[in-house]
Amino acid sequence: MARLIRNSLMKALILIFFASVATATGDAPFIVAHKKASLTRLKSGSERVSVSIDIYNQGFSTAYDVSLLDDSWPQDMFDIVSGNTSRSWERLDAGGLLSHSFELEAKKQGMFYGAPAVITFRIPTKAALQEAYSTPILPLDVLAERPPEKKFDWAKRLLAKYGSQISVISIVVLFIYLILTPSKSSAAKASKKKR
Amino acid sequence: MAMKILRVFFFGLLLLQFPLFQVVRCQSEIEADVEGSKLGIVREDVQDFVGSNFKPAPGVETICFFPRNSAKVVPAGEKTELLVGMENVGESPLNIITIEASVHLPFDHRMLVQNLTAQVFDNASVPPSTQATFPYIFALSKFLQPRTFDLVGTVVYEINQSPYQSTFYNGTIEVVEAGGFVSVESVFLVTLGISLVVLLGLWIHDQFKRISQKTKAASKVEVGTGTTDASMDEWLQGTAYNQSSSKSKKKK
Repeated sequence: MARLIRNSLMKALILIFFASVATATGDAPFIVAHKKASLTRLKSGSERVSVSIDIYNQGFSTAYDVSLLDDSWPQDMFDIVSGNTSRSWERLDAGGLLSHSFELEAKKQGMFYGAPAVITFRIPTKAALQEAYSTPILPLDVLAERPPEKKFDWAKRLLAKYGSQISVISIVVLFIYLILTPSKSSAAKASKKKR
Repeated sequence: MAMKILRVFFFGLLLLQFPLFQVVRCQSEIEADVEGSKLGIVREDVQDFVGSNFKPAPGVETICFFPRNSAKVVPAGEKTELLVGMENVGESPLNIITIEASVHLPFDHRMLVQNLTAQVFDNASVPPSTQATFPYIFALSKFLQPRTFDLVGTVVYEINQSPYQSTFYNGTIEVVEAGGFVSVESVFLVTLGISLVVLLGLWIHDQFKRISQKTKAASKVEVGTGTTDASMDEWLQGTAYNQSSSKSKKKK
């Protein structure tokens, strides 16, 4: 009798376990994609855009056939210098990170409003291809007119950034030096007296 | 001469501090004002949504992620970025209106520490059955005490013209002081500590010397010139003292 009760209890528990697993929320991958674009002005006057996209999987299961496509850079405004605007990976495990970057050269001047990049992936429980969008980028002022940097701007920036630390260290070092070195004038006087 | 020059330079350096500090202060004030950036033109009715409470919509999942910052460390006074992931499991597209956040004390949520600037979106939408990510950049006041605070972040969105609100983060963040290892206070503290240790060492050294001198003095007893025989001294030979003593000897 007791064995029968125990058996049925075990079966009930196993059933409940499987049921809970099947209905558990958050067992799919959650793709969080971070797109960053920065402008660099070269000495030759041309402007380069460095784009980097980080794809994180904050869900609880693996995403398969992860493919990244960034079509938001039109051909008439940008030229690809290095890398590719699309890439694909086999899988992205839960808690993992995939990174991709490429560089473009700007051709036209003006404000550019970029669209998010599209990431597609597959999950075992659904047949359709899943889609995720990355973060949008802030408007880029491409080939903007920059006022020429005044003479000692770089020195002023360095001073403002590190000035307090440099002065503190120099005060301390000077103070220690003052204490440790004996006074030369008193030593000269002592030697004069001896003569 | 060199010491004079050195002293003048020392005081000159001390006096130079004041204009330098002012430059630094101005820069950080400007940065603190830029607490949230706007993407696009602002909607006219956005004020209706900011600061109000709506219910979350079913079929919308949110997630909060601090990129490259799993410990959720937020330097006070500097920009920090977090990513809000939205998943639209429903059937109609949803439009993001604004993302806002506020900082509270961890043990009592009614004690508001700081309200952070809301980031308004003009044209951000999430189509059905897709996930999208939105950035939220914020900067805490640089005078915040370094300790754990509670950050509550909410996203306000609308589906079919009805507003909804979801809390994407309601947890702790670790606020730390911005600034590197070398700062005015830390350098002075370190130097003070070293000098105290050196002083202690000197004092102990002094004590040792005193103790060792006392033990040496016991064995060596200083005696005056009283017990020496003056007539035995060489340098008194041929002087009046010796002649008088020899005369007195002869007389005897």
